Amino acid sequence: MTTDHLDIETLSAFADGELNAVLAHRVERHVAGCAECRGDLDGVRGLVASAAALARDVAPPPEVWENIRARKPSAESREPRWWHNGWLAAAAAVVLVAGTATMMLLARPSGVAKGAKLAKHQAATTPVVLAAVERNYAPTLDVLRETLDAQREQLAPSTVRTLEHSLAVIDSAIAEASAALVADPGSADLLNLLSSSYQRKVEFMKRATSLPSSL
Amino acid sequence: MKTLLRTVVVVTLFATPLRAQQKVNIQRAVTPNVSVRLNGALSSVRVIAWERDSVSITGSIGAGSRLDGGPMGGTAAVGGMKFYVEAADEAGSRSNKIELRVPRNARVWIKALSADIDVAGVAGGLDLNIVGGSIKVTGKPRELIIESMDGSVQFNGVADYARIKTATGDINLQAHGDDYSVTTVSGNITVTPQTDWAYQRARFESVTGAITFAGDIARGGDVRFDSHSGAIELRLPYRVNAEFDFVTITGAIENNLTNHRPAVGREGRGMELGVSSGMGGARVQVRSFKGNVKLTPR
Repeated sequence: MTTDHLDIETLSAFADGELNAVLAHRVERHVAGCAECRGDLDGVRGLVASAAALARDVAPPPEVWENIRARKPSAESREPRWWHNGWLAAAAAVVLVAGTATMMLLARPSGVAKGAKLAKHQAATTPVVLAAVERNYAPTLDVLRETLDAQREQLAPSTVRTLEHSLAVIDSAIAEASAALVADPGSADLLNLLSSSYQRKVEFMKRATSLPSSL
Repeated sequence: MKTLLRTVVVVTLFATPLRAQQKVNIQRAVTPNVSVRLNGALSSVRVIAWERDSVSITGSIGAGSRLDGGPMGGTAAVGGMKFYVEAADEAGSRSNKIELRVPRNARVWIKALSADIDVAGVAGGLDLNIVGGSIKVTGKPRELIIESMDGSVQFNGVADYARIKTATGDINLQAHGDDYSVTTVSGNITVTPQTDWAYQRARFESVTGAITFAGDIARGGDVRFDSHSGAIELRLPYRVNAEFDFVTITGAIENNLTNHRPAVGREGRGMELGVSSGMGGARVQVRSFKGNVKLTPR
């Protein structure tokens, strides 16, 4: 018998299919052995079902709902699967942290002797560091871009404009910092600023993929 | 017992003529730390904390809109409520205006498209997410999470933990707390002082937006500013106990707080400033690519 119960938000997220596979499995296991949480979960599921089945005293004309349906994406795509992007991004974040740490070691002089040696090879090293930064973030950004493109139709045109404008602003910052890093090899500050810009882009795109659809 | 109070649930949404505004009036006894989630096509949401263990949702929704949802979970006092609002079109969405009253320690989660959200007095957690419109929060939420694209954000109060993000929306804070992260792409961040409170650990970031910080920094605090091209201005008390570490790649640094002059950057461009003020202690770090940085007394 268990005394630690699942909170209502976790159960709600589970009922809505918003948990990742690991968490969902934990909830399933817990609920299987906990009558109280099982009851709560039934309540949450019952709410969703009964809400969907609420009788309407005044039914709108069919064309109104046809209009709504036409505007709404399918049930599968209506709720952006933020958890899906979340675990992908979480996994990618581990890679990003490890990659960034490696790049910091690459770029940081670790002593006077090494500094002199580094200066000699700066010109050759910088493109490598730059390429490493780009390579580090590219897979995550590709996945996010793909997800965002798939959701674009669900977003209001004004939202899409804001997204594209902001991404262009971040891309411009990345381009400037990249060019500066080529011209100023071995600058840990520049590498930090460039990594910050990339990180900002990842976080921004992650947020963008969880935006509510237009209606 | 409060949990035995008669629960009144009056949903009149679907008993009104189609083209008319539909009244919303839902009352429910809940636990003091109830979790309330509100999601959908809303134009205005006002959240007010009150000293009662009940949730009240009132207001009106437009023709063709519908509100579904209710309590989640067990049969005893309600620990969670969830509501969805759908609208037929944008005009309908603009008519959807809700006032939500919750126990002071409630957790409130709102996700909307273009909405004006105004929250007052909630001491539990707040998680507010909009695309456009505005968010205004007043009070002392334990945890504050705000995400907005175009919408502006204003927070007056104290939060132990705050994460505020916008794309183009401006962020205005008259607030303080232990752990802050405030990020925008091109909005402006403005921090004004609040009596008797200070930032312990905070990070303010922008890409092109200006950052103006006139807050107070706690003894031993750690406050960082990071921008690509936005101007950064710090207005701090004369003889503030802090150590400053500023670096720009091409931007200028102006120091009017102490007598120390910024130096030209190591690579012959940009500027750097490393200086201690007062008794030192707090750490203030600024990193800017090409935005100018200004340190002035307040």
